Amino acid sequence: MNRKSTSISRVVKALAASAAIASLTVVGGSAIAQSAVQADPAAAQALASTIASAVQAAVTANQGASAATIQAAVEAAIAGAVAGKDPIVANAALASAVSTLSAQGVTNIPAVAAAVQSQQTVVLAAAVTAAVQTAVAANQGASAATVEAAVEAAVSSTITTSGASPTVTQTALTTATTSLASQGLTSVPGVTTAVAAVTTVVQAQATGTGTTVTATNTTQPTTTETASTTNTTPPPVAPPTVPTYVG
Amino acid sequence: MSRKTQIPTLAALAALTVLASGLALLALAGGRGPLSGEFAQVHEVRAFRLLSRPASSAILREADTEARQALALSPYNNAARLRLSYIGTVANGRMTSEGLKNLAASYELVPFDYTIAAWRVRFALDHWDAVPPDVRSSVFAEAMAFGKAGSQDVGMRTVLQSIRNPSGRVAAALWLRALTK
Repeated sequence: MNRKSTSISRVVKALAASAAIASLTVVGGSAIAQSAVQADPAAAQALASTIASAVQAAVTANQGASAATIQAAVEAAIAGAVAGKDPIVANAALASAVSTLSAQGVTNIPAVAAAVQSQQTVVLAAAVTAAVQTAVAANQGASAATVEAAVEAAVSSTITTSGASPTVTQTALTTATTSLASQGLTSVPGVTTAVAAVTTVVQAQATGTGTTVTATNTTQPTTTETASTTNTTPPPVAPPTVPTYVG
Repeated sequence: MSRKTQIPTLAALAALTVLASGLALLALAGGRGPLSGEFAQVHEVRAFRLLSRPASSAILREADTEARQALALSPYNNAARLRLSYIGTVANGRMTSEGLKNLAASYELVPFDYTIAAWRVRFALDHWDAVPPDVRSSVFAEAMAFGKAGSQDVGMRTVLQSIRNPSGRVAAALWLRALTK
C-alpha cells in the first residue's frame, strides 16, 4: 500500500513537472519572440572570430609597448573589424568576441579592457539606434503604446546581447538618443518614452541607485536532490520538492 | 510438493539468484543500468559537501573528480555539469572556456530546468560579461519564463534582484522591469 502510494505520488509529480515544462516552453518561446532584434548567428559568429583574432594579433604585436599604445592598437583592431558591418550583427559579434577573450584572460589586461569598453560604447550606440529604427519601421501606423513596447523590447534586447557595463551602456544610450533625434525618430510617438524608460533603469545601475543587492555571493549549485528556492547557501540534502506555479 | 519437483525448483531459484547477482555486479562495474543513477547521486553529494568547505586546490581537484564521475554516470545531470563550471570559476578566478561550454550545454540539454534555474540564471548574470550572446538569450528566456510563471520554487524575481556583476545587473534590472509591466 505504502509502495503503491509512493508510485502514485511519483506519477503525479512527473505529470506536474511535464505540464510545468510544457507551459514554460510556451512562455519562454514567447519571451524569445519578444526579444525582437536578433542578429544573424552565422554572420555574428564569423565576425566574432575576426574581432577576437584581430585583438589577439594587436596584443601580440604590441607586447612590451605602453598601455596607451596597446589600447590604441586594440581599438583600431576592433574598429577595423566591425567597419561597414550591420550594427546589430556587430553588437552580437563584439559580445561574443569579448566572451572568448575573457575566457582566455586577455581582457584582464587593463589596456585591452579599456579599448574593448571604448569600442563597446560605439558599437552599442549604433546597435541601439538600428534597433529603434527597425522597431519603428516594423510598427508604422501602430499606436504609441505599441511602438513604445516594441522600442523598449528592442533596446533592452540589444543591451542584453551586448553585456556591456552600466557606464558603457549609459554612454551608448546618450549617443543613440542624440542620433535618433537627428534622424527625427524621437518625434515618433512612443519612442522617446521607451528610450527614456530604459535609460532610467540603466542610469540607476550606473549610479548605484538600482535594485538593492540582497543575496550573498553566488555559491555552488545545489545537487538535484537539494534544489530549493534560494540556493545561495548549501541547503541540507533533502528530497526534491514539486514546484508551485502561480499565474 | 514431491521431492522430485522440489530439487529442480531449488536449483532454478539458485540459478536465478546467481543471475540476479551477476546483473547487479554488471550494473555496479559498468556504471550503467538501474543502479547508476543512485551512484551518480552519491558522487554529486560528495562534490557538494567538498565544496561546502573552504576552497583549496586539493578540495577543488577532489570535487572536480566527483562531479565528473557524477556526470559520466548521469549525463543529463545539469547540477553536476554546472558544478564543474563553478569549480573552474573558483579555481581560475573567472569563467573558463570549459565552464562556458558546460553552461551552454546545460541550456542545450534542458532549456527550462526548475531544479537549477535559480542558480544558473544567477551564475550567468554574475559572469555576464563573459557569457556569449547565444547563452545570454537562453538565460533571458529561462528568467522570463520562470519570472512570468511566478514559480515560488524558483523565485526568479528575487534572483534578478541579487546580481552583483555590474553588466549582469543592467540586464537583470531590464528584465525585472519587463516582468513587472
